[in-house]
Amino acid sequence: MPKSHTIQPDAIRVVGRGTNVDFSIDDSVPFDLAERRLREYLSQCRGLYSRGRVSVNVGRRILAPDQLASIKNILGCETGLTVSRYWCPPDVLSTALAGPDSRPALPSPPTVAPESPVITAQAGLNNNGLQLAFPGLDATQSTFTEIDDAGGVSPSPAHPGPVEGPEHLEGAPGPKFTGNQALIIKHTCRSGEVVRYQGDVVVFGDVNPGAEIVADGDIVVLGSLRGTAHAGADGDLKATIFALNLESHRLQIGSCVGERPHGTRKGKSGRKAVSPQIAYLSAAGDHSIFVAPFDRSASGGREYQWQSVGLQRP
Amino acid sequence: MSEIRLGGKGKTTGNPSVCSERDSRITTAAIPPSKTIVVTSGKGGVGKTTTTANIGAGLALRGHRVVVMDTDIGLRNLDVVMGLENRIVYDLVDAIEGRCKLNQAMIRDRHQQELYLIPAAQTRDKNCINPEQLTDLCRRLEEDFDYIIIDCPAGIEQGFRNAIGPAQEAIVVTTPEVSAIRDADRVIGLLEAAELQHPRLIINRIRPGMVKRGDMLDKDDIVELLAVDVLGLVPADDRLITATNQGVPVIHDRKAPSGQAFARIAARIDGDDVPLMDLEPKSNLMNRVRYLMGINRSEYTHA
Repeated sequence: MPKSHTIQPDAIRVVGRGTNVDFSIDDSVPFDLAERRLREYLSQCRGLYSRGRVSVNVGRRILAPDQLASIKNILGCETGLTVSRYWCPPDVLSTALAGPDSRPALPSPPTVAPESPVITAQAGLNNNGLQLAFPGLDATQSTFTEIDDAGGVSPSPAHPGPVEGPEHLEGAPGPKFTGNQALIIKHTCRSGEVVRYQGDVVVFGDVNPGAEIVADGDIVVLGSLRGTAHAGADGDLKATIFALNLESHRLQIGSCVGERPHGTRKGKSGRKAVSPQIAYLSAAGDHSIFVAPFDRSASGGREYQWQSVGLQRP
Repeated sequence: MSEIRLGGKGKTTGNPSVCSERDSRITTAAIPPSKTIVVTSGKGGVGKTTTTANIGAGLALRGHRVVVMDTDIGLRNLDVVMGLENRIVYDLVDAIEGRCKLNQAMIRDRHQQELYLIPAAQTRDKNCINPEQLTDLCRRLEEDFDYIIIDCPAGIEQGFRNAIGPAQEAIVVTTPEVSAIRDADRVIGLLEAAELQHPRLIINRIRPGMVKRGDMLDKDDIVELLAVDVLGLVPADDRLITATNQGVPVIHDRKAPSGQAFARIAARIDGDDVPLMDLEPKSNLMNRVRYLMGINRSEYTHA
């Protein structure tokens, strides 16, 4: 829908972008006015937006936690939309955190955009406190900040969702990924879904045949992995692939591709007891992928080698 | 713009003069919400059209006013399955493009007063309509009808996007074959992306004997992969083929196991709590002999 119309001059602008709609609220408008305008606009078009999750781009504005909660409240009450995350340009967050206020204040709300319908993964996992370097990110990419139910926020820099295309793989050889960013996917990845991410990927659900997960770090599937998985896509040979039920026929770690040897597939889908398995590259450097039960003490806990299909540049 | 659902649940109630005869029937009970349901599959030939015809007939048998709509523009065949091919004067595209009134494009079923068909155009293609137009049309139909069942074309291109545009619910039809299941998985992903959460699954052409022997995927395998609710299981049934060729939905054949399965599916869509029954092969030796000799027409009964 390439149309745009102005509801309140200089306050809110509504622009359709593909299948998404952005609400842009002017940065220079005071927060209470912006809040009022947003409420007015949403009540005008009640019924137009229903259901769904949105992410809120808080732009360059600095916001207190209760103001964030207020935005969430407006969107929830007026339209039933759920805010799944906030985001802002990384430099704004660093400025805000460097400021005198110790409580991480956040930049505030000018943009509301429904999430990409294809991949609604929530990004943001951070165990090392705040890391404000953004290797490989350009200025247009943004920081995600998870919100909790109390409306409180814990800023956590992460890459903005799946990164399209393997461009980031070019340049200096060797792993660039340093290991504290993860993409959390909270749904089953179905056939045709491609997830590329410059960190670890954790899937709460299955990865069905025809789906593809490409991660620079490790891949953890808390479900059945039946699709393709490629860990260590930027060359990390220590990357692993873990799944509660590993049923893939082909896995890739770094540039090494492995194929499940014939006859090692578990019996034809009887109600088997699944055991978690982990795939890793052999330490010998011969580019072969091994798959072993995660719990080696379990019965039949024997690692077996997958057929090496050769090397493939990522 | 699939995220934006115009109208949605809070749709306008119909013009009182139009639905006055319905009002007497529904004054005491809560007004059931009109439902626009799309029947889709991804893969072709799994039984979407047959399912659409039978669900439509089944809901009409339960006393609802139902429209079935064929959106497979250029390859229409819902009219053939319902035996209404000879009555087509105007079609869906005529109604959308304003060459006829909406009710002129609606053909009354031969068996049921409250069931109507809107046929697809045969001489046009899928790109001549868009989801917004179809949504608008369905919102008008919802004022007068309880259910609108949309037969979606195979594939995931324009025809698919048109068909799911107006839908409030989706039914995914698959057969117990790996290829159909793979396509169903893809389609479920696309439906979820288009905000049609929780599509329900119909598994068609199950051969309980083969499942028992381990030669066919069973319900649990399919559900484990697709992770959706099952709306119904339909056994493979020769009677269905006969009925389809005669242009009569098999649901009218009381002896057909598939017809009985469709009747239960219609009841579930209608909100009845009908437990899912496992299909069982006829264990009777004579039946098995008859089947092997090609005498038994419907291989199986069901529990």
